Parts: sequence; C-alpha cells; structure tokens
Amino acid sequence: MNGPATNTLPSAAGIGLRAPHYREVLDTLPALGWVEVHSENFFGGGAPLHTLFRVREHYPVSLHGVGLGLASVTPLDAGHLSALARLCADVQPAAVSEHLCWSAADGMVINDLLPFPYTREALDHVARRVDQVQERLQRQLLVENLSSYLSFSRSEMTEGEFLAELTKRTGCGILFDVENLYVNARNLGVDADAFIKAIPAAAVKEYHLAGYSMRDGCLVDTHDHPIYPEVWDLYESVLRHIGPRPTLIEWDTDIPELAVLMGEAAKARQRLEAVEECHAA
Amino acid sequence: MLHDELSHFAQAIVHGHMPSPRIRQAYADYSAETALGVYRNNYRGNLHDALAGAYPVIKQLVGDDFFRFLARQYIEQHPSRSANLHHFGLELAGFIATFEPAKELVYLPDVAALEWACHVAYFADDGDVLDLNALAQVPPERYPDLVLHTHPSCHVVRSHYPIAAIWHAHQPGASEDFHIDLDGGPGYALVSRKDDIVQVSELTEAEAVWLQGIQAGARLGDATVTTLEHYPDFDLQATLLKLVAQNTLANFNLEKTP
Amino acid sequence: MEKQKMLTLAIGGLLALGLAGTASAADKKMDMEQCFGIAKAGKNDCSSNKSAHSCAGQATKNNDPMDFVAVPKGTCDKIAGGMLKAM
Repeated sequence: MNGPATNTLPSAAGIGLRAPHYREVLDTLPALGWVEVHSENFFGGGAPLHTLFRVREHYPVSLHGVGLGLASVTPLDAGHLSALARLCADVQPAAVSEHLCWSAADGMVINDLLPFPYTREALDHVARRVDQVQERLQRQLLVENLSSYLSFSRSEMTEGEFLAELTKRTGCGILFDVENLYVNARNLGVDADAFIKAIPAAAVKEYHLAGYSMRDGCLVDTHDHPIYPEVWDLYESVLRHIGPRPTLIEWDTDIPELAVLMGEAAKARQRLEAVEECHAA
Repeated sequence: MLHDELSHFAQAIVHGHMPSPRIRQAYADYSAETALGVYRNNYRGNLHDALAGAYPVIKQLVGDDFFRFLARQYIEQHPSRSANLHHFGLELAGFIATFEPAKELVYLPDVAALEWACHVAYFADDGDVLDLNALAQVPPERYPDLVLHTHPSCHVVRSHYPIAAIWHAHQPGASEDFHIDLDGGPGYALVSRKDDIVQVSELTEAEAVWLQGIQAGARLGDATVTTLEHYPDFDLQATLLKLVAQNTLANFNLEKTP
Repeated sequence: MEKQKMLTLAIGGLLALGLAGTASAADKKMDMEQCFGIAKAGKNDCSSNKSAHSCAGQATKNNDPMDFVAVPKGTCDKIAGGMLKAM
C-alpha cells in the first residue's frame, strides 16, 4: 500500500474553477498555477466528474469540501466520507481541505458553514474527527479558518489557538483564508496580528482570497467582489510573517469573466513573487 | 455542552427560536439578531438555490416569486437531510401534488418528477457500454434469453400530459413562442445521458411498457412477447435502434433457458 | 417462430448499426463541446448566500405577505388546459 499522499500544490496563484468557466479554461488552457473545486459537486460521478478529469490533465487540482462538518455533533457521515475518499482516489488531488465548522445537529442539516465555541471539549471532538478523516483518506487534511458573524461567550481560546492546537494533535495542515480573518476582525473584533502569530507557519499550506459584501453593518463572506485593498494589505502582511504559499482567488456569486479572475490571480502572483525574492535574498 | 449549544443554534436558524444566551449579543456594528438573520438567510437561500438548480423548468413555469414561495413551504416540510445539496429536492413532485396554490397546474408534479430524473441522470455513474462484438457472438437462437441492462442514467417518467414537450419548450435556446395542448394524450418521457448531456425524448406507450419490462429484468423474448400481446404494432428493431442511439442500453447477459 | 424472426431482425439491425457506428466518431467531438455549454452549476459552495431579501425571515412566521403573491406567473399560461377552473 502507498504511504499517505502529500500536498503538492505549487506555490503559485490559482482560481476557484466553477461551471461557467469550464469550457473556456479547457479550450484556452490559461496560465494558472492550479485550480480548486468544491468536492461535493463531483460526488456521484457522472458528467461533472468527466469534466474534472479533463481539467486534471492540465492543472493540479485541489479538492475543497464544504459538507463534512468537522465540528458537527452528529456522527461523521460515513457516506459523505466514502464519497470523498472515492473522489480522492479518482482525481489524485494536490490538496484536500475542509472548514473548521459544523453543519448538523439533532437531525437538522444546515447547508452552511457554522461557527462553534472554541473550547477544550470542542478541540477533543474536532481532533478525533480530523484523525478519522485523515486515516480514511490516507493523507493530510487542510483545515480552513472560518468567517463568522457571531461568537460564543463560552470560548476558552481564540480560533488561531484552536487551529494551532489542532495541527499539533492531528498533524493536519491549515488553509489560511485571509479574507475570512479580515471579516472576523471587522465583525467580531478578532485580533488579526494575534491570529497570524498563533498559527504555526509550517502548518500553513494554502491561502484563500475573496471579496465580501456588507449587510446591515455585518461583513458577509459572499465571494462576489474583487479583493478589497484592505485584504490585499493583510495578505502582504501574512506573506511577510508566514511566507509564500499556494494562493487561491475565490469567486462564487455573480461570477465574472474568466479574465477578471485571471487579473486577481495576477495580483496575487506579483505579491507572491515579491516575497519569494525577499526570502531568496 | 457542545451538543446543547449547537442544537440551540440550529433551532434558532431552522425554527426561528431565540438563540442561546451563550451567543454573544453585542457586536461593534450590528446586533446578534442581524447575525442570526444572515445565517437564517443562508439556510433558506442555499436550499432555495439548490432547488432552483434542480428544477429550472418548474421555476420558469410558475415564475420566480411563486417558486420562492413554493420553495419556502417545501423547505419547512422537507428540510435538508444531506450535506450534499444535490440530494435536496427529492420529494418536490409529491409535495407539489398536495400544494394547494399550484393545484390548477395539474401537470406540474409530473414535470417535477421528470426534472428530478434529469438531475439524477446528470450525476449518475457511468454504465458499461453495450459491447456489440460480444453481442455478435451470441447465436441467434439464444436471443430470447438476452437480459438487457439499462444505463444508470436511464429513467422513464409516465404522465397523463405531454411532459417531454413541456420540458423541451423550456430548455436554453428553445423558442419562447410555444403553445402546448394538454389534451394530447399520455406521455412517456425517457431520460438518459449521452456524452455528458442529459436528454429527454418521448416513447410510445408500447416502447415504455417494453422498457419497463426490460428494466425489471425480463428476458428479451418474454418482454417482447408480453408487449406484443397488448401492442401488436410494437416495432422492436426501431425501439432498439432508438435506445442505443440515446445510450440507454448498457450491457447484457444471457440467462439460462428455463 | 414469428418471435424468433423478429428478434433476429432486431438484433441484426443493432449489429449492422454497430459496424457503421464508427462513422459517428466525427460527430462525437461536437457533442463533447456542446456539453460544456449546458454544464450544470454545482450547488455546493462555501460562500454566504447573497439573496438577502428573498430568503430571510423566520420560519415561525408562516402567514406573512408572501401568501398574497401565491399565484403562478410564469410560462404556464402558454399551456392550454393547464389553468383549470377552480373547483
């Protein structure tokens, strides 16, 4: 049997590949470091999987899950995990990630990414489940920090401390969503610098960037805008402290022309290259 | 502790209950109620969008506002059970059949059943391809013992109304200037997937009956004889050519002569 | 006997088509391209929903003003006999 699969994403800029761009990407094969897709959209095989196989011939693919519910208080969904394992075996992705969130309780399934209190109890719970997933997939899972609109008074640590402890216990990696951190800083008053210092740089394997929108004073993670200047600034700060990593442009709502996403990816690439030169010097 | 807290939170999102007092109440620029509103909106919005993705024809037939109203009632009665949104919407045809505000659109439940079959066909596994070389090796006297297998995407939807015509009139690129007469007799819509495209075509009643027999595992000889008893005009050759052209037949095996 | 003849003809037709079937390979490329035109968007994603005004609202308020627009207003008016008289 093969050993655990490793993460092989290049330290370059990629885009979230969505259905409106499948055809153009396959026809024109633009210069992209890699692409990321949502795992669940390829469960069950069929037509979508055929497209993904063709994409896979040209680009490293990262599988980004939204449904595993690492913190859900229902048993880990065996069918869901099997579908993910099968997809991983078929696609041989360069990275596999999930969110630090929950989505099911007491028979209710909420198809969203929900926050929970960062307690010792939750840490034990999530660590057990991350172990289970990594064991099943025979590879490192990247766990993404969440954008939240509310927080819990019972939290015993910050999200950054929680993630740091989680990587130590399970060996999982971190998918650092810079925009999510920015949203939390603005919404919840999270200390962005403290978060950057709390997570171990070596565990960070990927960055995400996206645009948010505003609703009644709350920043909502809608992935429907270009990356805002403040988020670029935060990204630069993250690059200086943690170093260059594969960086993804996410756009999921009101998806623009591919050229717009390529433009955003180029901006990320410039910043990545600048910091790589610094590191080399 | 964690369980109670998340359960409370879920109730607040799904059933509009008051949130747990353990949720922080004050934020710099908005209230806890605003934050909960975002989550409630996500919950219903994501399910609405999943339903709209699976049922684009129903949405066009009833219009966006009515579809939103219908989706909202459906979500109340049939909440999500899966972390994969593509599973959401399985019971819509049955729901519409009992949905008072839509009762005048008598064909709507059948169109919904057809759309769900298309949705499932899109994600269905690949089947075997009919191996004509292997078929050529079968001696003709064994043809009655052939058991034909259909492609996993293949599904027949039966209706009193011309649902295949309704479906086609609502596909991208179809003329907006259409008129469909509901009194055209019963319709049998065949759903299949070929080269990643989900297709809908019409079957005659004889073809539908024959295919149902085949899908139930009947041998070619028996299914054909049974069909001919009721439909003397049934044309097996034309039917087979049509089904193969649509990638509906996967593979076959030979059953022992009884 | 009649049945055997019919089956032989039908399967024979299928096999004949199979021999000629390689000719359709040229059409296949076009079909493959076509399929991207109708690629169905996956519904699982990790962004927050944008439809703020359409879907918000508490589940407990069932008798809200939505009930006033509960009349289908789409292409259903092009389907004759679809709008039966209310009983």
